[in-house]
Formats: sequence, C-alpha cells, structure tokens
Amino acid sequence: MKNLKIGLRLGIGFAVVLLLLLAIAVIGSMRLNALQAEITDLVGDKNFKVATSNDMIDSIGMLGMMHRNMLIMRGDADLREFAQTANAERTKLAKDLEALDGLSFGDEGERLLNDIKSARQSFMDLQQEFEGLIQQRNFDQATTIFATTYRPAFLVYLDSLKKFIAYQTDLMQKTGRDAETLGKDSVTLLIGLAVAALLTGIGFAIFITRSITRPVGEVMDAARKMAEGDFKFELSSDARDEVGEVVRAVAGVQTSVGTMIADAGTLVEAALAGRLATRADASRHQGDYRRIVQGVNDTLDAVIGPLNVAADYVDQIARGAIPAKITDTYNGDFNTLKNNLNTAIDAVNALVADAVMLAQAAVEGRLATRADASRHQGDYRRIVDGVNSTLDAVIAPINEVKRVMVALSGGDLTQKITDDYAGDFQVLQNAVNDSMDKLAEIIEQVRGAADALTNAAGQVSATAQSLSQSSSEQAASVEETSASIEQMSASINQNSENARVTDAMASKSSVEAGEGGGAVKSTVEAMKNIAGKIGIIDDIAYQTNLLALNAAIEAARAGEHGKGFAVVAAEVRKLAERSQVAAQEIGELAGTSVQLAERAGKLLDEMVPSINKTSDLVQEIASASQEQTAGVGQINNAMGQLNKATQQNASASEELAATAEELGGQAGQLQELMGFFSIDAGAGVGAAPKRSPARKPASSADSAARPRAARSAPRAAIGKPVSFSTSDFEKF
Amino acid sequence: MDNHGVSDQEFALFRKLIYRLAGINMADSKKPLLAGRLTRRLRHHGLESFRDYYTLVTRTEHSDELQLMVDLLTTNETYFFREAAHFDYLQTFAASRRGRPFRVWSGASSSGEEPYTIAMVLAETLGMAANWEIVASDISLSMLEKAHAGLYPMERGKGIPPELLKKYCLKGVREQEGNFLVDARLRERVDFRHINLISPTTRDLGQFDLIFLRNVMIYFDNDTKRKVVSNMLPHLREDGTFIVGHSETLTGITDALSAMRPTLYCQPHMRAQLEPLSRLAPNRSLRTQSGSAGR
Repeated sequence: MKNLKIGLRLGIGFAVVLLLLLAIAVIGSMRLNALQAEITDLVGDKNFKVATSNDMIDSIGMLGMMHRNMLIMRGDADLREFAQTANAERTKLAKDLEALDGLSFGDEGERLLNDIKSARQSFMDLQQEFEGLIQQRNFDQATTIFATTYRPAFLVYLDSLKKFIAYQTDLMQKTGRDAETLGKDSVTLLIGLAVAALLTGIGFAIFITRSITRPVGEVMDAARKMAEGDFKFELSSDARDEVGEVVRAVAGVQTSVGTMIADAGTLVEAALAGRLATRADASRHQGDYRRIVQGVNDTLDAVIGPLNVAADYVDQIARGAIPAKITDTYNGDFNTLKNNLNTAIDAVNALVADAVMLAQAAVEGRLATRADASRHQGDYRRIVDGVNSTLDAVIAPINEVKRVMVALSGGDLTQKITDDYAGDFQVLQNAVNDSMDKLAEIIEQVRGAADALTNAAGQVSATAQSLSQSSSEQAASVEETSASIEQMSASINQNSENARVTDAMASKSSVEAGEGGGAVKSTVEAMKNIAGKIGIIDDIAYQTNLLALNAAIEAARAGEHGKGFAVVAAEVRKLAERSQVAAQEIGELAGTSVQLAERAGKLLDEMVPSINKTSDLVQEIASASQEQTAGVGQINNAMGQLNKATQQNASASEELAATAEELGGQAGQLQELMGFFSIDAGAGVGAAPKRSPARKPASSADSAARPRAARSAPRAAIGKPVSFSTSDFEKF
Repeated sequence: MDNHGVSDQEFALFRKLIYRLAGINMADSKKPLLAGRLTRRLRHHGLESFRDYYTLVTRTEHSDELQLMVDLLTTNETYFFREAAHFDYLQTFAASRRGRPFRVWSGASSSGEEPYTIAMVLAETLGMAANWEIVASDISLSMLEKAHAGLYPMERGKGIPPELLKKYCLKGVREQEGNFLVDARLRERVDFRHINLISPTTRDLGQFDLIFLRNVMIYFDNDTKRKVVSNMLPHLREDGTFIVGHSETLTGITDALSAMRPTLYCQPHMRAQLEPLSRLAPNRSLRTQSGSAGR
C-alpha cells in the first residue's frame, strides 16, 4: 500500500466511500421512484378514477334533479334553464367518461366500466324521451316515464358507478399498503448502506492518515535538524509514494548541502594552503546550489583575480617582460595595489628605455651617449649611474682601439695603445698591441719576401729572357744549318742519282755496243742480199722500159684517143730508166756499204771493253754517292730532331720567359700592395715598389684597323694538310 | 750582338703588326725570336730584307702568308696533362654536373694536347655516351691543323697515364712508327675553330661550363688581357669556371670573377657553391695513376 501514491491511495478511499454513496443514492432513488409510481398511481389513476366517478355521480344527480325540476316548474324560462344545465351536465359526463375510457384497467375494472357505459346508454335514451315529452309539454307522459322507466335506469346507472368506485377504492387501499411496505424496506436498506459507507470511510481515513503522518514526521524531524544546522542524520525511504519522494528530496538536500559543505571545506583548505586557483566544481551542483557554489567561485575570482593580475605583473616584471600599465578599474585596496604596480612598471620601463637607448646608441656606434640618471630614483638611479660609469670605463679603451684600428686601416702599423688599463681591458690592450706588432713583423717579413721575390723574379725573368734569346738564336742557326745540310743532302742525292743514271747508261751502252756489232753483221748480210736483189730490180726496170715502148706504139695507133696514154707511157719509160740507173747506183753503194759495215762491226767490237770499264767506274761512284746520301740523310734526320728539340726549347724558354715576366709583374704588384703599410722598423719604409718593366705596348690605338685576314679562316681549311693512313696505327 | 739581320725599325714594324693581329706583346729582346722564326720565310720567298717581307705580308693578296707569319710568331708550348691539378678539378666539376650537357672551351688549344687531355678526362668521368662537347680554338691555323690531326710523336705522350693512352690512342706502325694518334672517337668530340681571342668572339659559340685560358695571357699586356677576358666572359655559364695558367691571375683584369683558388675563377655569387668542389679531391685521380714518372 505504501508503494501507492498518496493521491491514488486517497482516491481509492474516496472511491470506495463514493461508491457506497452512489449505491445509496441509486437504491434510494430507485425506491423513491417506485414509491412515486405508487403515489402517482394512487393520485393520478386510482384517485382520479374515483374522483371522476364521483363527479359523474354528482352530474347524474344533477341531471335527475333538473329532470325533476322540469316536472315541477313548467315555465318556459325555467325549462330552458333546466335543459341548458342538463346539457352542460351531460357534456361533463361525456367528458368524464371519455377521460376514464382513455385509462387502463384490469379485467374487472373494464367490466365495471362497460357496465357503466351500458347503464349510461339506457339512461341516455330515457333522457331523450323524457326531454322530448317535456318539450312537447306532455308533462304527464313525462311524469309517467319518469316514474316508471326513468328512475330504475337512473338507479342502475348510479349503482354501476358506485360499484366502480368501490372497486377502485379497493385497489387504492391495496396500492397504499404496497407503498407503505416499500417505504419501510427502503429506509432499512438505506440505513444499512449508510452505516457501511461510514465505516469504510473511517477505515480508509485512519489508514491513509497514518501512512502519511509517520514518514512526514521523520521528514519534519530531519528538516528541524537541518534548520539547526545538523546534517548528520540518517534519512532514507524506499517508498515510492510522495512522502517517500519528499524523504528522498530532503535526503537530496542533505547530500547537496553536504557536498557544498565539503566543497566549501576544500576551498577553505586550498585558500589556507595558498592554492588560490582552486575552485569548487559548480557542475557537481544543481540549480540554486550551483548558483551558490558558482557565487563562491566568482567571489574567489573577484578576490583572486586582482591578486593574480598582480602576481602575473610581478612575475612578468621579474622575467623582464615589462607589461603595459594596468588600466582596469579596481576598488579600494586593489586600486592601491594597481597603483603600486603601475609605479613599478613606470620605473622599470624608464630603466629599460634608457638601457635600450644606450644599447641602440652602442649598436649604432654612438659611444658618447649616456642615460640621464636624474630621471630615476633610489637603486634604479644607482643602476643607471653604474651603467654610465661602465660605459665610460668600456668606451675609453674602445676609443683607443678605434684610434689604433683607424690607423691600421690606413696602413699605419706604428700606433699603439699607450694608456694603462686593468683586467680584460689590459688583455684587449695587449692583444691589440701584440696584433699590431705581429702584423708589423709579418708585413715586414712579407715585404722582405716580396722584395726578394721581385729580385728573384727579375733574375729569373732576365735569365729566362737570355735563355729564350739564345734558344731563339740557336734555333735560328740550327734552322740555317739544317737548311744548308738540306741543300747538301739534296746535291749529294743529285750526284748519286746522276751516277746511278750514268752507270745505267754505260751498262746499257756496253750491251748496245755488243748488240750494235751484231746488228752491223746483220747489216752486212743484208747489204749483200740487197746487192743480190738489185739485179731483179734492174730486170724489172728493163722489162718495164719495153712495156712502156710497146704502150707508146699502141698509143700512137690509137691516134687522138691514145694521146694521153702516150704521155703516161713516156713517163713510165722515164721512171724505168731512172730505176735502172738507181738500181745500178744502189748496187755500187751496197758494195761500198758492206765494206763500211764490216769496218763498223770491227770498231764496235773494239768499243765494248772500254764501255764496260767505264760502267764499272760509274758503279763505284754511284755506290759511294749512295753511302754519302745515307750519311747525309742521317745527319739531316739528326738536324731535324735537333731542330725540333731546339724549336721546342725555344718555345718552352719563350713561354718560360713570358711566365717569368708575369711572375715579376705579380711580385711587383705584391710589393706595391705591401707598400701600403708603414711600420716602425724603418727599413724599406715608403720605398716605392719596383714595377716590373713596362709591358705596355708602344701603340694600341690602332686596334680598330685590325686586319681581317687573321681573324677568320675558312673552317674547311683545318685538318686538311696533315694526311696519313689510319692503317698505320694499331692498339697499344 | 749582331742584329740577326733585323733592324730596329723593321722589328718595330713587326712588333706593331703582331700586337695588332694577335695582341702579342714583343719586347726588344724578342728580336732573335723574330729573326729565328721568320728567316725561313724570307728564304722561301727569296727576299733580302725583313722590310721586304713586311711589305709582302701586309699586301692584301698575301693573307695566307700573314696567317703563316702569325702562326710562326705565336709560341705554342703545351703538353698532355699540363698543370695537372686543373684536370682534377675538371673531374670533380664534371662529376657534379652529371646528367647535364657539359661544354668546355679550350681557348688556346695550340697543337691540341689540352683539348685531348680534357676529352680523355671527360670520357673517363662522364663516359663516351654522355652529352659533352669540347670547343678548341687557336689563332694559328697550322696549329689547328696539327691539333685536328691528333697525331703526335711518341715522346709527347709521356704525360698521358698508360691506361688512358691504351684506351684512347693508337700506336703508329710502319710509316707512323714512333708516333701515336688520338682515337677518332675523341677527335670527333672536339670542335676545332679558328678564333682570334682579341676580336669579339662568334656568337654561335654558345656558353660553356668551363673555359680554359692557360698560359696565353702571359704574352699579352694588361689592355689585351682585359679585352680577351671580356670577349670570353659572355660565353661562360653563370655557374661556370674560368681557368687560367698557374702563373696568371685575373686580379686587376676583371671584377666579374673572383678566385675560389689561385687560377680557378667563378662568378662571385656562385663561389659558395663551387668553392667546395675546388677543394675536393677526385674519387680516382687520373693523373696520379700516371705518377710523377710521367714527367
């Protein structure tokens, strides 16, 4: 039950009570309805029926009365008045009957009503008859009817009505009794239900109240303790109802406040330990607790913020990073702190500005610059004074060094730092002075070396020059000698060649002389043959002569026609005769030629041995010449090599001479450079450096008129003249 | 002393002429040199005096003779691996440029020993397949012809380390006994050009990583030295090195270059980059293999 919410619990209680109430209401209303129905039945139906029946009885009585009155008072006016009233009563009766006829009845009631209707009908007929008689002023008849038939019908009608009323009254009484019973039962039932509802309501009220008040009491106790500041209590509930939640909520409050107290403790502890950056974790708290914790944090920030700024500034100042002045607005003591810090910053800034100014001046070389110490106070002033003094102490030697170095840059090595200094300045002074001394010493040595070098270079140059000159002369004379030898070699060659040719010729002559002898012999033979063959020619000439004669005769016979032929024949005859003479002459000449040829043959035979001797001698000359040629060739070769070597020497010595001169020039340049320095030693100071012999050309102004010939030769010309066969080379 | 057949006036004429043509500065002491070197030409032309020869060479139709005279009056002293320390530097310098086209100008190549020495060092350092090129120039056509042939007496090859000689030269036999020939593979890599350094150099020369101008300026006076160097400087790459002979200096000749070490010059702002190279010994010095026995 305690796990149900109080609302639900109350709901259930009230629901039960209300259900009982509803039951009472429903049952009560049902019973009352039943009673009402009974009453309605009594009043509206049964009572109505009785009342109506009574009215009908009244009306019937009235009718009877009127009808009687008609019999009694017979004036017209009266009759009319009675007839009117009788009609009204009849109308009323008809209406009442009609009203009854619309109601329901039991079987008995229906039967009784029908009795009434039938009685009424009989009565109605009699009434009409009666009233018709009245109108006819037949009172007698009327009185008879009234007395005989009218009156019994009237009574039956009345009686039927009375029976009906009695029946209905009976029914009314019965219904009244039923209603009474019903009323009594209902009262009993309703009282029972009311008692049950009362008991249930009390039960629930007690239970629910108890289930709420007990834990609420605990909570109240806890709340009271909390109000007294006592948070060390146990409060817990596992109930799921609202009270349980209240208990837990209060326990939550206890926890939250406990955490807050713990945080506050931590913060206090941290603050005491100087850990000002420590903050409570506001996110651990909710709602207003968070605002409280946040508020505490903010408060700490507000207090510690300026402290941190101050600490940061002091730290920055300590580390040398001078911050800008604090411009934030602080109140009270914080403002004092801020002002003090700003004063410190100003003082340090002024100090730094002066230090920077001095450093800048030093960097830019303005060594005379000093800081104004009067702008500073207290120990700061002492610092600035100290720096100024330090500068004074440093700059004096630097000025001295400057003076010496300026002199050095002008080549003057005679300057020294003469003032006395202590400590590192003395080291500097000694270093500078020693450097100057050392430099002067080295320069003196270099100068000596340069002088020596210039001298040596001059000598080398002169020697190389004379070497080059003599090499050139040697080359020229070797060239000349070699040319002479070349010529000699050529003439010897020529001799040798001539001898060789002569020898050949002599040999050839000897052979030819032999051959000539043979030829002469053959000639003799041939001559003899010719002499023999001449006779044939003589014969042929003779015969030709005869033939020409015959031809002349034949031509004469032919007369005019043979005239031309006769001329030819005469010429042929002349030729034949001349041939004969020539043949005879040749015959004689052949005879003498044979003699001459025989003599020539003999002479030639005698010539051959002497020619052979000549040939031998010439051969000896030729071989001697050849030996000479070989010798001269060797000499020539040697001269060629000598020439080549001499040319190479000449070329090398020429290059050497040029190099030596270049060297001399550079040594002179060195000497000239060294002349820049002046040193104390006195030796050779200011001596003008000896320049090497002027190598400036006599004229270089005409360079514009450079001939084109030397500038460019056709590329094709290169590589043509040196020719050799690649087959004459092989791998190494 | 006889005057070798050259009068003072004649010598003055030739001195002016050779100075104008080649920038060579001849002192009076060079009279025997002039006589020794030109007498042959007088003889060749059958001339009596040097004045006649002067008239001959200065006539425009004898430009060939003028060139010959210049050839004769220039001194062509050179040998393989001359001033060998420079080739150590060439080695480290070329190695530092590996992967880039590498161009060297031998400003006064004479009979070709210098460009072929450079070629051997580059062939060893960068390999034959690498993109390197040597331009060799001289004022003397006859020297250029000699150089182009690449043919030398055996004793001139003493400075070449034996394994390089084996690798890059051929031994002469039969007709060429006693000579050696620089291999065509190296000869093809050297572009010989006829250039007079005192005239503004041709623009198509391009730029060079290294310029050798060694033992040339010793024959010049300062004006000529300045002219020659200022003619050559536009052809030096910004990060290039200019090398002069060991007795020469560019101090007072040009301010555009500063010395990293004696004889090695570079642009002042490149000094920090290049100077360490000049102090570096090559991994495998080519010259030390040959040893001092080479000379």
